[in-house]
Amino acid sequence: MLFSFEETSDPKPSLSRRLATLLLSLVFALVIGAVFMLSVGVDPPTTYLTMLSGAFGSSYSLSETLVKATPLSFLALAVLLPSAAQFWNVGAEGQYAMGAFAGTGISLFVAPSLPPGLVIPIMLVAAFAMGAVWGVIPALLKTFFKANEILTTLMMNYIAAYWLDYLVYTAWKDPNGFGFPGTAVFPADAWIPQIFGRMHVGFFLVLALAVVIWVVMGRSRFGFELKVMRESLKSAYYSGFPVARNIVIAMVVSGGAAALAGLFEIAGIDHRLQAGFLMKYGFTALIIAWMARLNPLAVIPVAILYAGLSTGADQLQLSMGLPSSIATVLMGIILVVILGSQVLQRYRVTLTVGGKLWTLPS
Amino acid sequence: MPLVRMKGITKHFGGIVANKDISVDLIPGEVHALLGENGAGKSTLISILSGMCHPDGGEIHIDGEVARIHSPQDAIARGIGTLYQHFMLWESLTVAENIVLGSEGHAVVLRLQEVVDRINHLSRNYGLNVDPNAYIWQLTVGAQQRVELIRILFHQADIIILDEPTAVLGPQEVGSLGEILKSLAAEGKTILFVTHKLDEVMRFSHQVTVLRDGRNVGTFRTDQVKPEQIAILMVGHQVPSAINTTHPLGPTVLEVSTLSALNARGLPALKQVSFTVRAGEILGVGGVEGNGQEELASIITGLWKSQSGTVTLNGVDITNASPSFIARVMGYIPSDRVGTGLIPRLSLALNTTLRSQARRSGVDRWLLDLKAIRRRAQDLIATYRVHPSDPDLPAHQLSGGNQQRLLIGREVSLDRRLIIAAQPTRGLDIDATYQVHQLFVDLSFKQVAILVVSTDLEELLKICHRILILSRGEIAGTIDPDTTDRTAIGLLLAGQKGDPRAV
Ligand SMILES: Nc1ncnc2c1ncn2[C@@H]1O[C@H](COP(=O)(O)OP(=O)(O)OP(=O)(O)O)[C@@H](O)[C@H]1O
Ligand SMILES: [Mg+2]
Repeated sequence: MLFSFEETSDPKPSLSRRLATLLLSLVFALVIGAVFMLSVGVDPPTTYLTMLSGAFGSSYSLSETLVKATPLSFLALAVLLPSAAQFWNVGAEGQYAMGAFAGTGISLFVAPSLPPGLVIPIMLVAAFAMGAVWGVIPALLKTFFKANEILTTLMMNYIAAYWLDYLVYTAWKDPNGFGFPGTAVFPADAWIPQIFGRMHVGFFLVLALAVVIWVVMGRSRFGFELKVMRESLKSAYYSGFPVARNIVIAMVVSGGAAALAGLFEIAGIDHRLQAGFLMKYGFTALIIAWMARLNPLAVIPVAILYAGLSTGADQLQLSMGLPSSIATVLMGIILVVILGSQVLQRYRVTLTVGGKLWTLPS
Repeated sequence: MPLVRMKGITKHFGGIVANKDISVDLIPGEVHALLGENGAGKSTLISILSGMCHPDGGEIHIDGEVARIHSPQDAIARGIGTLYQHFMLWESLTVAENIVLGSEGHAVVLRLQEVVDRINHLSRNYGLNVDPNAYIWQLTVGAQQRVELIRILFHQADIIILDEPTAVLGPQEVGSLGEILKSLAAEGKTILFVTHKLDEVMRFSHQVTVLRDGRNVGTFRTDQVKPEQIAILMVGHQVPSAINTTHPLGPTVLEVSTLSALNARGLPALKQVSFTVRAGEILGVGGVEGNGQEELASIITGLWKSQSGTVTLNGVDITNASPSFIARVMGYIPSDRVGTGLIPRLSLALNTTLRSQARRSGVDRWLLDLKAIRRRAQDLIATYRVHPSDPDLPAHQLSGGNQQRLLIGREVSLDRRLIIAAQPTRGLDIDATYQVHQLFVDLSFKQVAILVVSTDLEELLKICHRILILSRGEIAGTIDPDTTDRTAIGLLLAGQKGDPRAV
């Protein structure tokens, strides 16, 4: 028995073929998930239905799903833009944290002396700038000292995380908070308006950002230069592209976007910064970006799907008393199947058994 | 009695017919040359034989029985060894280590000392002159090629296929490779090799097959044809051999003085190199590859830094200028065609924009003007006769020669006063080579200054006004193609060792 892989001659599979593989692999993943559920003694149809209604079944659950999808989308976009130039930003988590830090600082210490209408714009600007700084540091370390960005961005996550801990446990801890680790509640001027349930304007902003990044990556000269940098750095230098500047710009936008997610979480949802704020969204976002095949538009539905699985899992716990880790397993299965299906899009796989050939896709 | 019979091999790529009903027989003990224009289907036929791609029709018989070759492993198991143009060697390992690594998957566990002994044995038997303990990075291109050959022999291949093995070699190395191939054939091996050089066909082959537009248009005993016949069969018309290069030269455009530099390993690559190129002049830089030619071109074009010395362009100091500045002032045709010069996975249209920041080029604005880009690409493709001509195809689908036409066309159309060209006709067929030579000479008549780096001395003699021979990073001598006689050139080249870096 022998597998052989031949690269298909068309480098870009058609949209219909991509959608078909995606759908097929989703169905395939659900079937494997059902087998898994049977093996742990759970009834697959009821479980799937409970999750579905828990995620999208009511306006409450739908808004909760979108609330979760918003930061995930921001962070996935933050991963994806620099990756277009093969710069791997594993530091979205830290940039997210620093956005929350900047927003908290403004709302606690500067907002009282600002005219009410200016508070939120200034918070947005401050958060973006803080995240941009956090993102640019690894970009500079890479261009000047050739420091590997995966390591530097990863390590800066820890700095950001401990910095937030220091703030909520010590420096900015609410003196009237009965000892709970967290800041005081923000003044009302610093609350970003909620629109639909707890869903706030951040969701629309991330939709717009996805479209902008899609246009930039697909149609702009900057996006083209990033693409050349990804394909071959040698070519980029040879072509006279400003390689270092492009990485810096990409990381400014990337860090800024991640920081906005952090800001929206505290100013739109929590209205304070508290311990346990960091949920490892930065890493989930990496998975989402990859499942979306680094396509900015695809990020949104993938993030909603992911968020839906996790709100659905909460429902499992509430109404069926099942561990929410079932959903984590399901997510893992979906991920592996989808990533695996990409092989079928790029290669024609031939299986030879005793002189007989099977070819996929035929 | 042929060992390999290819019968009616057909292969389509989308709408393109790369191989159409090709039948070729390979006879043990003979060297078979495969010839044809760029895009004629030579590499396709070879990748079918070596299991890299599957034919749509036809059969391959080996030793009288049908051979199903579905993967490179199948090919190796059938005794077929292939030498590709891109070597697959780990630079930081020794020859022996590379050969051990290449043998993984073979059930036997090899001990390094046994491998060293076998390499020495093979090397002596076939006059390959390979030191098993040398590191790959220490070897010249020619020596690395012989390592690949040893690897093939190591796997006991009886059928040896080589795709344009001489394209990267200088004249002496070509000669010795030819002798090696002949002695392998004398041992009973079956050899198929691709080349664009008619004199190599005449010197080294027993049989020759000419492909044209994917068809076999003739197989001959080499001693029964004339090179002119083959040339006409291949391109359909006579190719002129001489070009008139005499015309008045203008002021100095490029001046390089006492330039010294290290190579990527920190060893001296250039030592105190000085020369000038005048407007309208074609200056050749020759010598065995790996003697500083690449570094010289890279430094002038801003992609590598010098240690000392200066480079001036029209009197302006451009020593170690940024690549983005250089991209605006000179054309550069790098020897690394796919990977630097072109991006294989991007479309032809986008590839034509790579170095142009010109107005109305479609890339001068914030948003790309895809229509303008396509239009300009179509013009360029038509002017430089790139085939196939669809601007939306990815560049890797072009044959090597057509990729080079696209690259040269792009750089020439930038309209710069200075062009640096490294190995500009490597892999081009005779007609395309002539076209490039004619193009360069035409440009020089328009007072463009051209620096040509090439291992092909014949090429330099044909088009250059002056030729510098680089040896170990120094200018070993200057040749005037009109007055320097052949014996003096021979002496100059003979002063060079074939393997300057080998230990
Ligand atoms: N992977 C591919 N996809 C699509 N078309 C291809 C592919 N490989 C080759 N072709 C096309 O098939 C034809 C034959 O190409 P091939 O590389 O065999 O030519 P060649 O004779 O080796 O030319 P050269 O001398 O330039 O190397 C060309 O028209 C080429 O564009
Ligand atoms: Mg070829």
